[in-house]
Amino acid sequence: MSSEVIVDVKNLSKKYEIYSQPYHRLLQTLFMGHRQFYKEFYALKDITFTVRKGECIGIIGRNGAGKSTLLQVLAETLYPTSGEVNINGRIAALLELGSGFNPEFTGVENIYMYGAILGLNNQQINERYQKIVDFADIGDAINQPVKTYSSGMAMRLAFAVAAHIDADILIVDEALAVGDVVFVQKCFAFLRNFIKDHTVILVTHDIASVRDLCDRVIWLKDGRIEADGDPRIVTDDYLAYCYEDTSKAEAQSEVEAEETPAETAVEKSAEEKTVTKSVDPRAELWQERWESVPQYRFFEFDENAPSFGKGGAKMRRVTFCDEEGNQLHAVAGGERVRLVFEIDILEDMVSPIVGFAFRNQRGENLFGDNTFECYQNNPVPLKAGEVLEAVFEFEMPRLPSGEYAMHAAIADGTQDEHVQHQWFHNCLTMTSLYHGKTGVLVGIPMHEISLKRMDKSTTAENTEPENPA
Amino acid sequence: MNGNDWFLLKQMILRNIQLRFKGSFLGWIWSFLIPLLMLTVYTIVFGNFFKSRWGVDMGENKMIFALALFSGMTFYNIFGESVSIATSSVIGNVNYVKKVRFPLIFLPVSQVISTSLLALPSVILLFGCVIIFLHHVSFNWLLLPLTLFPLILFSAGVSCFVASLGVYFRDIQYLITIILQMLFFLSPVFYRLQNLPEKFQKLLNYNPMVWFIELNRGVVFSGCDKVDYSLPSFSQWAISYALGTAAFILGFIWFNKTKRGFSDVL
Repeated sequence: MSSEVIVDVKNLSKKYEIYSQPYHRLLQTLFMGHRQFYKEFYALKDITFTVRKGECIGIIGRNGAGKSTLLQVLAETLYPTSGEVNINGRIAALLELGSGFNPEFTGVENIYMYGAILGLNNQQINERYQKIVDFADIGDAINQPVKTYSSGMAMRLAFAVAAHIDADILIVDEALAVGDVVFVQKCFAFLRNFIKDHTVILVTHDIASVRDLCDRVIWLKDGRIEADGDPRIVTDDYLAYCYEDTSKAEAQSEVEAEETPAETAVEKSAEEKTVTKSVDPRAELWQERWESVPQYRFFEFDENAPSFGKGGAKMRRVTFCDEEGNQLHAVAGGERVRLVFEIDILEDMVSPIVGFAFRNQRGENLFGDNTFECYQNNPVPLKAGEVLEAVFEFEMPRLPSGEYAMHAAIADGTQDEHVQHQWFHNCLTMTSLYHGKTGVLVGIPMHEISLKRMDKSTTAENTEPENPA
Repeated sequence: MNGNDWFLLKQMILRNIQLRFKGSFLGWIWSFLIPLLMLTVYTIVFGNFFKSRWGVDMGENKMIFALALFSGMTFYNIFGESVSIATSSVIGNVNYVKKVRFPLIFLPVSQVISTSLLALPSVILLFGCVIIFLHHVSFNWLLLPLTLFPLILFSAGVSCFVASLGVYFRDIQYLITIILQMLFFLSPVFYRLQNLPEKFQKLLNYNPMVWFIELNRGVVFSGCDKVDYSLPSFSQWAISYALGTAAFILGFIWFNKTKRGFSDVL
């Protein structure tokens, strides 16, 4: 990975001039600024960033934030109003896959035409033709007019061509949202491979793929750069912003809560459950190991971690405990742990839900749960000033070594419709020092692991006897 | 322009030509059939019904009017068709403007070139009929590429201009149809320029198409004793080339100046 700057954007602004009539745009050119025929609208304002060779940049933002405008300026299909854009290298812009296709022509003819539009000559296309056809994998349809294709097939062909033009910079706008699972995986595989030694600028609403693919994320908000940096941090902030916005909207439309029904203090049934300590057969082995090196270390709950929400509740303590209620700072994995939340209730709630999720460094939610289903028919209404305790008891899974962060939230409502009162990012972190190979992202504790030789008589029943007695 | 751009232009021209006949049963045959049928209609209507005469001689071969008309139509149409197709060449390809990096000038230019290439069957048919019906062959015919060139340059210039204008003024599409119709009747297609009163001839000289049609017709019919056309004069050559080059340069500059705004209004 070299540090060569391949895209350099300085103070870029794109002012859309809203013309009531198209010819006003022409008059504007002809009057050379002596008169103004438009209303101003800034789609991009003062954008500055650089992309180095080999970086994969994700651009996120809500609809209308200027993402597509930015891509169009980078792809040179739009001219910036002010500022500079310097690009060193060949750009392949997949602003809309298949936009160069002509439906009357066959797949083959379109490969040549689209290839030419993307800057290849005849010989170069001939060289790549077979690879393109193989990648698209649409069979004999390649000889049929594109108008007979399903939209998915057309996209496959378009992506196949675009993937083979040897661009230095690939600009992808929402292009990966198409096609079936197999093809999407193919595209991702291609992108991962491409990213190794090329530059990619990706616009998408799919936060998971941004976290998965990008080295850096730029969050655009109202035409400005709101954040530019580490994918996990920026996407967390972005999601928080999106949630905040929706819960604000919900809060406004929320009808004044009716008086809560008679106080039916629901005792926690969970406590009455008989606790059967299930043991992973390897527990002793792990326990031994733990004597010298604990496999998981928990860090203290960080109440100053970034959080968002309506603010009707505040988590004051989140701890891992053993079955007796002693706080744990480290565990070996596989044993029963209790994750205990203590939450100050600041606003009356009708049916609170508490949930948590652990994420790995790539931002993938690995495991977690919430209280919704257990209490959906007998919710625990709460009054302001009360303190809520929520407990999740589970067997600690084995996790590959690395950092893990817990997200926790308390909301009021149902799984699908709720007011987010507090959503904590990374409020509790955990380090796994597991040195063994899990082979999986989450290794769930096994209740039995066995290898047995099956009885000969049992085997004989199923298979044909080789040596009849 | 690098090699890849040329390849792109070639692909676009090919595509335009293929598109004209794509899906029709007779396909390519139409490119010969259409001019042949047109010529037949002209011959029957003007030769037999109207008994129209090109020159002043009432006893002239009835094919002369049909062929003179046909030649005029062929040359005029290179311009007329190019321009009317080019008007919507940018509007009709919004994707090329907004979604890919693309040398936009290829949109009108490729249309002009493919229209010119599609006129070839008509030209061949014209020569064939001159040989058969007027018993005339001439080495002057080899000059035709040189006389077609300024016409194509002129068509390209005007096409670039209207292609750009069409983006900003949608009305251009309708206006162009009328203007082309007017220019058609103001060009010596249906009539012989010399048959007009002197003052109209002078007026008509302001129509650039008059120069291109007369230049090309001169090459086709010069030396044929049944029609009194002679090889174009030096001034005809000079004016035609000047008009063609000027239109092309101006159209090119105009297009490049105005294309920045395309993606803003499309």
